[in-house]
Amino acid sequence: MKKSLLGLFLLFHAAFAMAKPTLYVYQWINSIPDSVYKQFTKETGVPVDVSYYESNEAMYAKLKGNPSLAYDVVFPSSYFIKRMVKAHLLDHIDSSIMTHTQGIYKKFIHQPFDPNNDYSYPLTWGMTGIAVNDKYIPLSKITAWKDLWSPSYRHQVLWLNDIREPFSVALIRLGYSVNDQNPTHIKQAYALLKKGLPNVKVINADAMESMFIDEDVFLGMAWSPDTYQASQSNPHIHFVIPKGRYPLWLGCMAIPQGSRHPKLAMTLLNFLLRKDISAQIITGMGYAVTNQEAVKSLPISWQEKRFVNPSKSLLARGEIEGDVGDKARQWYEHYWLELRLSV
Amino acid sequence: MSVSLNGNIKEGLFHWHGLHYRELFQPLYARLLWQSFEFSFVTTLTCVLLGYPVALALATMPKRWKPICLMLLLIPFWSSSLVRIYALLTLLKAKGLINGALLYLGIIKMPLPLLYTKVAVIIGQVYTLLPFMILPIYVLLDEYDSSWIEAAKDLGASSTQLFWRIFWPYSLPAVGSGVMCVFLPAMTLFYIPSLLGDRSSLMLGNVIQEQIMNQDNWPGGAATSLLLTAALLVFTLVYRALFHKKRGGRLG
Amino acid sequence: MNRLTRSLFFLVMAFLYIPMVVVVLFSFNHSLHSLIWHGWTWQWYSKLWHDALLAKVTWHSLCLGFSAAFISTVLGAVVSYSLYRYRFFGRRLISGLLIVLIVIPDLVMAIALMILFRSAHVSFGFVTLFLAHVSFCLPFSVMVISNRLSDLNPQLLLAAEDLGASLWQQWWWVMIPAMRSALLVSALLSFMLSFDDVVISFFVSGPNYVTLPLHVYAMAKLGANPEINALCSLLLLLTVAVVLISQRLLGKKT
Repeated sequence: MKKSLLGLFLLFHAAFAMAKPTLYVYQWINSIPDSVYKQFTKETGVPVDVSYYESNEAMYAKLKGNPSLAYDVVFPSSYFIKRMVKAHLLDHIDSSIMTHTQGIYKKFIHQPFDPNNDYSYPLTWGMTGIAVNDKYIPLSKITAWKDLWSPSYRHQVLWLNDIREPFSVALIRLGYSVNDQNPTHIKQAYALLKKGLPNVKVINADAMESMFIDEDVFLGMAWSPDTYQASQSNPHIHFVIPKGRYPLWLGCMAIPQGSRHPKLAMTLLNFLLRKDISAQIITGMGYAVTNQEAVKSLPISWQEKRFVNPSKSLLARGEIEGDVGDKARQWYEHYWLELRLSV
Repeated sequence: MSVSLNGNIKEGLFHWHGLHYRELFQPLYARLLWQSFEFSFVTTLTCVLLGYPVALALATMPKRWKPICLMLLLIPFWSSSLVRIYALLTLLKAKGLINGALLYLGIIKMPLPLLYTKVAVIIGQVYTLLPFMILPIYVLLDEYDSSWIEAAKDLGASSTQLFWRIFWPYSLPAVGSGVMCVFLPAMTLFYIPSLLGDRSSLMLGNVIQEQIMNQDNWPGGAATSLLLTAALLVFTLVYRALFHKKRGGRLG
Repeated sequence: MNRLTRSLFFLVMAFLYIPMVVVVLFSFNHSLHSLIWHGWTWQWYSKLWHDALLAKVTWHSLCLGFSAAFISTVLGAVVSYSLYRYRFFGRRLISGLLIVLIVIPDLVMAIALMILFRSAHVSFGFVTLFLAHVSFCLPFSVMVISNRLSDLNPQLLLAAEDLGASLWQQWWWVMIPAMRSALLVSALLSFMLSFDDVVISFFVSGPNYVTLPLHVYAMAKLGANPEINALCSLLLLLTVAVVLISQRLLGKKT
C-alpha cells in the first residue's frame, strides 16, 4: 500500500517537476487580457501561467499564509504596497531593467507609499465613481456622491466590497483626505456610511459587472473599467464621475519574495509598460494605463473617452489612495467589519 | 482525523486568553448568531413541511413507480450543490425565467427583485437541503408495515388519525435526523448567502470565511468555528435526549 | 391525503428540476447576456473545450478524485475489516468518531484541517487537498464496506484460515470478492464526494492547485454566463451517469 501511495504521489508530481521556467502571475479577475501574455511568450519563449484573485485582502492572505507559493508577479492596489513591503512580501525591482517608464504620468510615480519605486510600478489606474442604468434612473439625478444617500434609492445601491472605497467616498463627503489616519475622522466616516446602509442592496465587487448588465442592480459605486466593460453589453449603463473629488487607484505591479525568476519577472513588468502592450490593455479590458503615450496611439474614439484619456483638471480631481499605516488600517478594518456584518 | 478535531480545540483553547472569544460576545456577533439561527430555522421548518409529505408520497407509491421516483430524488441529492445554486441564480435574476415569464404575461410591469434578497437565501437553502430531509424520512417510512394501516383502518381510524397516531410518531426519529442534516449545513454553507443574498443576509459560515480568507484573522475564525462545533454538540445531545430515550422507553 | 401528497411530490420535483433544466437548456442559447432565446449553438461547449485553465482544473479534480477514492477505499476496506474481524479496545470509539466525521458540518472540518496543516507547516496544494479529501471520504467508505461485511458469514474466513490460507490469500480469495460491489460503490461515492467538494477544498487548497468546483465558484461569483451554464450542464450529466451506474451496482447486489 505504501508503494502504491508513493507511486501516486510521484505520478502527480512528475507533471510539475518537469516545468521549464514559467512565470506565475497572480492577477485580478478581468484585468490584463490573455493576449498580452501570449505575445510575451511569443517574444521571449517564456510561458506565463495566470491565476486570479478578487480582492487585495484575499491575495495578501494567500501570499502571507503560504510563503512557498512562488508567484512571480502580483498586482496589488496602491494602498496595499507599503503594507506588503512591511510584511516582507515584496522583492526589490531593478530600475535599470525598467526602460519603458518615461511615459508614466508624473502624478503616479514617487508616491509616498513607495517613494523611489523600489518595489512597485503603477501599470493601470482607474476612478471610483458611480454607475447608473438610465432605464431606471435618469442620469441627471445622479451628479454627486451624496446622491447615493438619497432616500429615494432605498435598498437599491451597490457598494464596492473593498474596504477603502466606501470609506474614501465618505471621507470625501466629509471633506477629509481619502488617506485620513485620524481615528475620529474615520469614525465620522463610519457614522456617515452607517446612515447610508439602508440604501444598500448588496456589497459586492466580483459580480458587480454582471449585476449591472442583467439589471439586478442599477445604481452604485463602481470602478471605471468594470463599468466600461458592462456598458459594452448593456448600453444603458453609464459611468458618472461625481462632482468634486473622486478616489483614484493605481494597479501596481510587484514581485513577491520567493519568486524563482525575479529577473524574468522584471522583464515582464517592463514589457507590460511598453506602449503597444499597454494599448492592448486599454482596448482589451477598458483599463486606463499609466503610460500616457499608449492612449495617444489609439483611434480617436478611445482618445475621446475621459476615463482613459482624462483632461488635466479631471486628473487633478482624483485623489490617489495610498497607505494609511497599520494603526489607522485597523480602525478601517474594525469599522468595515461592523458595517459588513450589521444586520 | 480526530487529531484535526483536537487541533481545532487546542487552537481554540490556546487563544482563550486572547480577544477572540471576547469578540464573540459582542452584540454584533450575538445578532449574527441569532440571524443565522433564524435563517436555519425557517429553512428547516420549510424542509419539514415540504419534505415530509414528499417522503410519504414516495413511500406509499405503487411499486412500479418507486424506483424511478427515487432516482429522481437521488439526482439532485448527488449533484453538486454549487451547480444547483448557480442554476437557481439564473432563474431568479431580474432577466431570469421567472421575471421573464411574469413580464411576458403582463402580471408585472417592472421585474421583481427576487435575487439578492433574504428570501432568495431561504429558497436557496431549501433547494439545496430538501433532499437531505426527504431521504431519511423516506427510508424509515418505507419500512413501515402495511398491516398497521389495515389494522388501524379496521379499528375505524380516519386518515388524519392514521397520520398523527401512527406515521408521525413512528417517523419522528427520521425527522430528527433530517433536521440535523438541514439545520447545521444551513448555517455553514457560506456560498449560498454570498451568491444569492443581499448585504445583510449573512450566516455564521460567512463570518468564518470572511475572518479567515479576507482578514487573516485565523484565531477569530477558529473561535467562531468552535462556536459552531458547540452548537453541533448541543444539537446532537438534544437529539439523543429526545429520540433515543423515547425509543428505548417504547421498546422497554 | 394520498392525492394531496402526491401532487405535492410532483410540485417539489418540479421545484428541484426546473432550475437545472433551465441551465441545461440555456447552455445552448446563442445570446451572451439574457434569457431570451436566440437560437441553438454549441459554441459555449466548444469554448469550454478550448479553455486551458478549465482543462487544468478538471485534470486537478480528476487526479484528486481518483487518488482520494482509491486510497479512501483501500483504507476503508482495512478499517472495516479490522472493525469486523477483531474486537479491540477503542473499537466503538473509532466507529463513533467516524460517525462524528459524517455529521460534522464541512466548514468545521475545513477549519480544523486548515489549522492542522498550517501548524504542521504543510504548504497548501495537492498534498493538503488529498489528505483532506481522504479524511472526509473515509467515513463513507467504511460505512459502505462495513455494511456489506455485516452480511458476510464470519465462518467463511475461519474456514479459509483452517484450510491454511495466509492473510493475503484470505484477502485475495475471500474478502475482496465478497466486498467487490461495496468497494466499487465506495470508490464511486468517494470520487463523487471529492469531485463535488467546495467548502473543504476552499480552505485547504493553494492557488497553484485549484479544483474544478472552486473554479466554478470563482466563475459563479462573477455572475451568470452561458459558459458556466455549459459547464454546469456537463457536471449535471456526470452526476446523472454516476447515479445510474451506482443504482445498477447496488441493484445487482440486492
